[in-house]
Amino acid sequence: MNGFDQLLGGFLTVLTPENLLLALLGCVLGMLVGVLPGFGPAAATSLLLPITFTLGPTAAIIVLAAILYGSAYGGTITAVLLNVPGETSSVATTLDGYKMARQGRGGQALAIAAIGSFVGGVVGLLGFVLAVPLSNLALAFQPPEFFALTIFGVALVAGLGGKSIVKALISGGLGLIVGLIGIDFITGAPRFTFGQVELLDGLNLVPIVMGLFGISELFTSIERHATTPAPITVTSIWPTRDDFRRSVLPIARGSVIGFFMGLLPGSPGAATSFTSYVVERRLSKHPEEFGKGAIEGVAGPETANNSLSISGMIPLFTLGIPTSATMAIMMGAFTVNGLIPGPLLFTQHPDVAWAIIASMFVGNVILLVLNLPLARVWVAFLRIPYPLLYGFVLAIMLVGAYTIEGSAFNVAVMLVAGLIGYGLRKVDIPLAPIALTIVLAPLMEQSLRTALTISRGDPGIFFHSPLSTILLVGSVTAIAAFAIRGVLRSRCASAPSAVDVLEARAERKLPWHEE
Amino acid sequence: MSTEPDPRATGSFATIPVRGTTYFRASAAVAVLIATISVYIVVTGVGYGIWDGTRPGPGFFPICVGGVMTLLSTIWAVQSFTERGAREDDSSIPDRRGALHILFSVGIVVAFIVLVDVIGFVISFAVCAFGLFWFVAARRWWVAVVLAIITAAAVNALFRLALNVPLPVSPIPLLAEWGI
Repeated sequence: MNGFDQLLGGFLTVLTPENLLLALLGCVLGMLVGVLPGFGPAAATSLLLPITFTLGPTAAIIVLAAILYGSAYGGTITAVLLNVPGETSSVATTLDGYKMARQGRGGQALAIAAIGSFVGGVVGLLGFVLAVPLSNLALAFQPPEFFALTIFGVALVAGLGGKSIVKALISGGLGLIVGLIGIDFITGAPRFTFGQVELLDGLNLVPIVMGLFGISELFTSIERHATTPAPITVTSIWPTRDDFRRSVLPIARGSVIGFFMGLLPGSPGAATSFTSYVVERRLSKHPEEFGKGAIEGVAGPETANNSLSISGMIPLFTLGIPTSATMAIMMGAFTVNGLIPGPLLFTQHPDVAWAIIASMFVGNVILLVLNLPLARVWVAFLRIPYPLLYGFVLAIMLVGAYTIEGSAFNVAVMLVAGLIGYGLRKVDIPLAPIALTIVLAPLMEQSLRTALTISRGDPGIFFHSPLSTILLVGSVTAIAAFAIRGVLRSRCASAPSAVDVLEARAERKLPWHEE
Repeated sequence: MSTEPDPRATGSFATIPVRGTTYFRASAAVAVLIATISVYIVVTGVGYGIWDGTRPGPGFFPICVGGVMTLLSTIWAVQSFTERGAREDDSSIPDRRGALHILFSVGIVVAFIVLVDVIGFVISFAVCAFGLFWFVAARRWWVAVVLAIITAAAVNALFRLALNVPLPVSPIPLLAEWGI
């Protein structure tokens, strides 16, 4: 049976009233949380993760995938109507999307973004189906290759995830430290448990990511008193024929750009959408319109963004390696539901794996249907005073953390992780590498120790196979390249790039600060 | 309310050394803290055993991680002294009300941790929700009470009744009979 036959089977599993309802629920919840400025997919997914615990593996992942898309599109709505990107990957959308909204064309910008996201998602899915055979390649991996792969993943994530390679690597190291806690899997000796029974099994990923991304985001959002600006009203939403004509090629190019960049560990969402934006401006017949409301500036980046969110799952599904914080959270959801993402997923639970892939397509259709007519509803949500929303969200997070294992311990873990995350944000340490390395730590340690056991302590084993050699050399090269880039950047600090300026705006979450 | 423009947003980057700023002090403190934790991990890892006959012992990986982290945090600490950046000092420090809200929120979460197994989930949740709505959201006390009761009832219905998640009940028999 080839991939497309299995995908058809996945559709048969997903297209039940119950699963469709769950996908719809996930999209709605994701959009509701996604329109909260600052709440990108990672924070939204971690916040809503606990509601999936009792649903069963297939249903849980269907809901989470839908939450992921919904929250990503929620960020687009705020980018267009409030000039506030929900996350850095939506920053490029503010450039022309907000200008279109001020010209009374916000509805068209949202519609093209929705259509582009749908096309990007479908292209990403087709690539996903074609990439599934890669999982067979991963089955041939031995401990040295797995170790080299984890090192490569950490190197790229650290390099792409932050402005300082040292800080990004420190962030990754903190995740590895958290991963050390618990019983040693070979000898059974407790490590760094301080005599606490709760620590013997290690720390649960879910409350940690809820704290790192959710709590720290909440604290950041209320640290200064400010008001939410009123969103621009949406009138007509249907794009003109000229809008469609001008968007076709940017959407096509954005799909390809997003797909290939999503395969890179680090899933550089902002870099992807800006790459698409720059490409469109360069290829445009009227580049002078960019920054003043060019629809190509919305179509390309939004398409690339969604294509990337799908292709970013390919390394997780085929190799078991998450490429972003959001994927690490998804991996946590897999684990909670007794699934191990990676090559074995397609041999041990093919029904679940293909159902999830099919659900991504269904989720994209639901989003397309929901986005256009309901844009006004999502925006109305922003009229609720933020402190009230803050109270609701924090209260819901208390419940979520408690219900993970029915224990107040996880609430404490969430709080501590939130405070640490808040502190790390203040000193510009990126948080995504922590989530990734917490997930990767067991695989990294196990493969390292197993390989050294096989070789009786000879580290040369990591260079016996061409693949592990390439990955390790690539890791060192990547870290060196990122370090050099960092040095060059710091020497040019007086001349900020457009990306720097826009990211600065995104980081400041303008709705809580008057412009 | 903060009305100061972000220097990066306005394009007016100043290449000032960050030394002497709160940002520098915080960075240096975090770097030293991480270095200390890393050294502790290395020392503890040695105690767990580096090598066990023909294979790496339980302390092998912690020593590797702790060693690398010690090196990285030392580099960061050194970089902090030489860093030149475009950061306005204290631009991201909470104002007084923000700090109070954060501290109150932390207190609310701690209160929940302490109360949940003592007085049951629903009541402790309602108390904490009331605190958040009353103090952080600045609602009138009776509005906060109503919102807290509605939120607690909705959460109870969703998790206990719809999702069948077991939640601790109150030790008060009457309330326990009602499942709250």
